[in-house]
Amino acid sequence: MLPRKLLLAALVAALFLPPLLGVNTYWLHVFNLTFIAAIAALGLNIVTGLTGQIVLGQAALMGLGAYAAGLLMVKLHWPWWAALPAALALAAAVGLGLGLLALRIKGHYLAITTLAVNEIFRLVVLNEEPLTGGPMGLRDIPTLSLPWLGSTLDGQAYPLLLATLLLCGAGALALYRSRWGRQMRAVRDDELAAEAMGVHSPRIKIAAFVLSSVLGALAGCLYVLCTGFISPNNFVIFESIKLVLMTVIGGLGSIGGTLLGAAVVTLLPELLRDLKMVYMAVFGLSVVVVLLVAPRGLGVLGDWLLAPWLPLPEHEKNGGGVQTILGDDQGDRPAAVRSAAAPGPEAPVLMRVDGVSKHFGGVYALENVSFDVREGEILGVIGPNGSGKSTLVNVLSGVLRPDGGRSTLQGRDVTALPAWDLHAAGVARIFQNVRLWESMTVLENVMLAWQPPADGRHDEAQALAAARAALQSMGIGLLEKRRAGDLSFGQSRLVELARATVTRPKLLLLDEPAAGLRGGLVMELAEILQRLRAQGTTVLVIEHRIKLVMSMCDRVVVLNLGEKIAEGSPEAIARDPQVVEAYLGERAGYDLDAGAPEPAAATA
Amino acid sequence: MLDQIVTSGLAMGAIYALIALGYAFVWNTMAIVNFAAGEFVTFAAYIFVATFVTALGFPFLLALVCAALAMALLGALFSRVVFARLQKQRPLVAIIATVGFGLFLKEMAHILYGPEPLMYPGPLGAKMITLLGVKIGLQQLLILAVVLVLMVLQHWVLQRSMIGKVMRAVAADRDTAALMGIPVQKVLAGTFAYSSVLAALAGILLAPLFFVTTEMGTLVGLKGFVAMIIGGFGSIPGAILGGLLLGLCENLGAYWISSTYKDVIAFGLLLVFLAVRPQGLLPERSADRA
Repeated sequence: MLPRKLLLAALVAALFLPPLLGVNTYWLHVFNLTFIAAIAALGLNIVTGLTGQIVLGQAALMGLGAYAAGLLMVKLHWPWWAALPAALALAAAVGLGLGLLALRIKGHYLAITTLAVNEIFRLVVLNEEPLTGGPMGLRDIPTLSLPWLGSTLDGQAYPLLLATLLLCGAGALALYRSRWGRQMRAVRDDELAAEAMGVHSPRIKIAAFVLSSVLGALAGCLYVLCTGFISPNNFVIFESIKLVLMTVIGGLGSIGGTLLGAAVVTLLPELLRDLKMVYMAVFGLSVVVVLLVAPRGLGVLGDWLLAPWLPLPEHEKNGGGVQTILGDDQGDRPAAVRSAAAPGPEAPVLMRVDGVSKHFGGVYALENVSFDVREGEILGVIGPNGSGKSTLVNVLSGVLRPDGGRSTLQGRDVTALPAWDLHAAGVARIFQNVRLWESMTVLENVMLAWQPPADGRHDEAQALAAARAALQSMGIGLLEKRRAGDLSFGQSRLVELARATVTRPKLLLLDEPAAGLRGGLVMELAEILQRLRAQGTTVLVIEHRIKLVMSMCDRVVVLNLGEKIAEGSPEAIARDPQVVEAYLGERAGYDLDAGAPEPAAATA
Repeated sequence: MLDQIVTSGLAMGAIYALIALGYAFVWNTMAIVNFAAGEFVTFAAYIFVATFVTALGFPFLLALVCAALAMALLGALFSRVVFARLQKQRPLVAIIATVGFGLFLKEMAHILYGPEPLMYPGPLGAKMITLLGVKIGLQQLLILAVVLVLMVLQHWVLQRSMIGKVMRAVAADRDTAALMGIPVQKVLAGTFAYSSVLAALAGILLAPLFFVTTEMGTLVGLKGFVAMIIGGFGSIPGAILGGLLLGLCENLGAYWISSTYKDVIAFGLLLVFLAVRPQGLLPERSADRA
């Protein structure tokens, strides 16, 4: 990694050279425009690349910053150091508004809306001539004057703009690695899973929009300070598209890629200028070709350059398997896992589900379901397909809000809590179809779900240690640097379990954890559940395989067509005629004989 | 005065409806939004006016058919070479690639036909007639008539013929359609060609109302997209309703509120709809919920 750092240092140093080497003003101006565009594109990369919110109106934010600063300086004669923060504050407020808007609309809707905002901005600036100067633009804005930096305006601005860009780049890099950056990427990869794992997604989205808007406005302000002239044509939709293009060919999310993308998109038309009339057509066509052939080509290069500062995945052939889990060589695992006894009926109630209902249109997914989850037990929920099991987990984890009834966690009403608050309260879950954040590393996946102790602040070192420990306890510590999307299904399931248990939740909700696992892993799963119970986690598990339920669970709740039809010990359930009729069918007795009487024997 | 504002608003709305329909068809079969639609309109207007009418001297109808065929060919080609390959990409990549192609088309028009705006009086000129006590421009009447006939034909084809069934099958489940022996790639290219024909018609019908410039289609294309969202993402009847409503509101807004901010009215309407009824007027069940 050291040569990489030296290479990058040399590159940065070389970037400062052009004005010293007497490069002509035209090219210095082009470079300055590149730096300004790169700052705006870095902002866009935060909201679109990292957080996944499609924004096609970044140029309007640039324009907002530019016109706000310009008008304050021209009309009110504010000095630049007062106008700049005021313009940024205004942009932050607009970013807040956009973020609130993005909580309601997504995807293509957000794209066209931001595009519309851009066009509205242009039309307003164009038509409010007395204030903005209209199509003639705003002229004679005081520019920077720093004679000691060079003789021309562009020469003076060059080192300042480059330094600002480097600062913004370093800031973006720090954000990428931080908890906020992880949460943004999690929202992009899988918003639902992010919320269920404790990410306050509205807050994250709004933060992304504010940051992006402020960086856009900063770019606009810098443009004003370095040119002294702005017109509506500087901030049209086409400029927004160019900014998006920079982040897209930069690999959508990659910081280094975005900077390279900004360089290519701004410098390429200049280099093609010899083609005269044809050059924009060539530019348009090359955009299509690049996106078809190498949609994230520059991102790869950019990430390679910045690798020493990025949590990058490794691509190994054999990054460790899950076979080691049953080995005894891992000292941090409690030895006597099976000694934890099932709690009796006098154990305190952890979660009380009271008359919970959930309807989808005319479908009654859950109808007046009530039961208690006792501390320290492994509670099974079974039922035929469509009996409401997954809906139950979605309601209990806050992903869905019930239409009726209430649920309490240790006496506290948690019915209306959103998923992230429930996660903070100690309820974690896994999904029926594994939902990891695929572009992130395994370690990042697990760290993200870590919650600081009740009164503590987020501590990166603690999160890292807890995540490593959780991965170790699942026997997949060796996978920590792999990209989550590259794992096999079984590995992903174990990562998801590590993610759900990293902060030792009070209640763990498992939606068919054994689905799709091969036989050996299923048995490991049973052991993992016993171990979690020994650590003080209560487990609610949905399972289809009766044999597994009989061997794993202390008590069983049976759902059929959204209603609870039975509750009790596995043995009692297996004999309940209603259950037999609804679910187990004629084969129930057979299965029971095969596996149920000795739970421990079945898992051994 | 008001009657003319309503009729010309409806005529403009019919143009938006044509473009919105193009978006809806492409969205339904490929789940991508073609942000180059506006430039298809521009390009069609250019080849119609400059090549077929002016250079080759074709009569109106022949020129119309030739321009539509040329655009269909271009659309099918674009669909096979570029569009079909974008489906594996993230939505944003697809959006930007189509924007890039739009830029290419716009600049090609500029290169081929020069920077001067073209004037085209149209076969009907600027004559007005009074129909049932309402004054209406002949060109507006032509637009409404063409769109009406097209809608009836399209409805009939989609509901009755095998082509319609095949398209709807591909839209419903492409993999299953392929397994059942439907030539999916051809259907996709055909759908895109049809959406290009719709854009071509929009360009040809608009040419006498606007100057033909490289910018003429850009805003019209965006407003067509707005019309589709107002009507319901991907909904065929919604696209028509949304287009007509948008054209009408835009003209009435320009008359009552401010003509300088005519374009803001369209986007303002979009924001209102997204806030109040994001699923649109006539929502499609499989709309974009991403």
